[in-house]
Amino acid sequence: MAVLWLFLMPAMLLLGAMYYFLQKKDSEELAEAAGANNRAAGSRMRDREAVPGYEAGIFSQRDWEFIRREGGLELEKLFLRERRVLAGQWLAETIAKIAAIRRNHLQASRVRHDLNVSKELILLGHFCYLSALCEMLAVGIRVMHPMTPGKLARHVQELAHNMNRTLEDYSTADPETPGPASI
Amino acid sequence: MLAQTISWLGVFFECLLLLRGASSHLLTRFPIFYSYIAFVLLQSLFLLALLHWWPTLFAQNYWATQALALVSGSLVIFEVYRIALRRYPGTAKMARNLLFLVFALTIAKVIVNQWNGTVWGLARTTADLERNLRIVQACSLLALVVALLLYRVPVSKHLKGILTGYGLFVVSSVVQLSLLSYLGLPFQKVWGYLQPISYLVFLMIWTVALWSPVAEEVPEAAELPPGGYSRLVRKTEEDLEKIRMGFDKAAR
Repeated sequence: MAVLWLFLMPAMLLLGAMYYFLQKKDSEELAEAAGANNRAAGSRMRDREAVPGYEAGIFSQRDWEFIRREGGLELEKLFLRERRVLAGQWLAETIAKIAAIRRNHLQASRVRHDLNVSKELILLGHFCYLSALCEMLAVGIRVMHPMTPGKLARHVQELAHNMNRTLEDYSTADPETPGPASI
Repeated sequence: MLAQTISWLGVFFECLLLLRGASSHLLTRFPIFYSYIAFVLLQSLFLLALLHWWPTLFAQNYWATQALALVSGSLVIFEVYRIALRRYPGTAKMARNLLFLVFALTIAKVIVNQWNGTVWGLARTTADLERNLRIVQACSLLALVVALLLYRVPVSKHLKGILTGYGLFVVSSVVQLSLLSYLGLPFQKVWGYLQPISYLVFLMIWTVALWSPVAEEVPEAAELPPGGYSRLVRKTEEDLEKIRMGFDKAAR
């Protein structure tokens, strides 16, 4: 039975890909670009109204600790509600920005003769990582305390940073240089 | 009787496709696809004649012509790749690398099997062999569709129809041949009907997709942006770095 599923797997994957392929309309790209422009325009309008750099410390514990020290239960509730809305808005804007960067990159790279496949795959990994981080934070804001995702974001960022540094070290390493003793 | 009716219906749709292709000048736009349809038409007529006059020769000739159909079907995938990615050299390069990966894995599998003493691995019968080759086709098509989806390459209605019909045909072949191999004789009788019926459905998909004579205009590829690919990557990396810094700022 397991062998049968092994044979059926490529067919199922192809079927899934074909489904997405058929869902995609040719006009979708144009509509998506127009939608992104509208979103960006809306975002610019909001930016003008919002305090510049409003996202700074959006997941910070310091504000929350201050409110807990100073305010009562009602103020705490109000703060949490406001912070949830603000974080949600910032995440939505960030997701839209990532999608716009990705779209612009793909539109330019698909017509390039000198496209580098490994660089494309690394960038795809970065896009997937950032999108996954946003989704994770969005879920975190909804189901947890609005400040909790901050710790999670910091942890994931540190992890990704260390991974990037290790990859860079290996990619720039001199093959003649002996590796760490543990290898 | 039912099987023969389905086969003749298939012949009818193949003739219809070829005639429509000739009248709407699609024959010159998709020469390999229409050659494939012409080949399948001749194959169907040849096999129907064998079944009528020399039924004992049917089985071995069926598998021999099926192997040829499989090769010409692979050329259809190549034609889709060539036409869809003509204006997108970057995506074409990506698709080539994905296809290279599929073929490298296939060759590695064949070598490993040969090392173990079985040249075609799990292929005990001709049906198993066809299933294995259809799986390679499915992986190639998957690589192509993934590249088209990833880079959001616009595809004309005609080409989409050809790709959809052939993709579904490959999926159904893999499923049917896998079940034939797994269930054996009890499934063989059902398969005798299932295969021509499903092929008839794919012929209908092609007929509907290729019926409209006016070629749907695909949006032109964007102008080549100034600067090299490295500059583009640097700019994207800078933009992504700004996003990452935003996360740092928010979490601080």
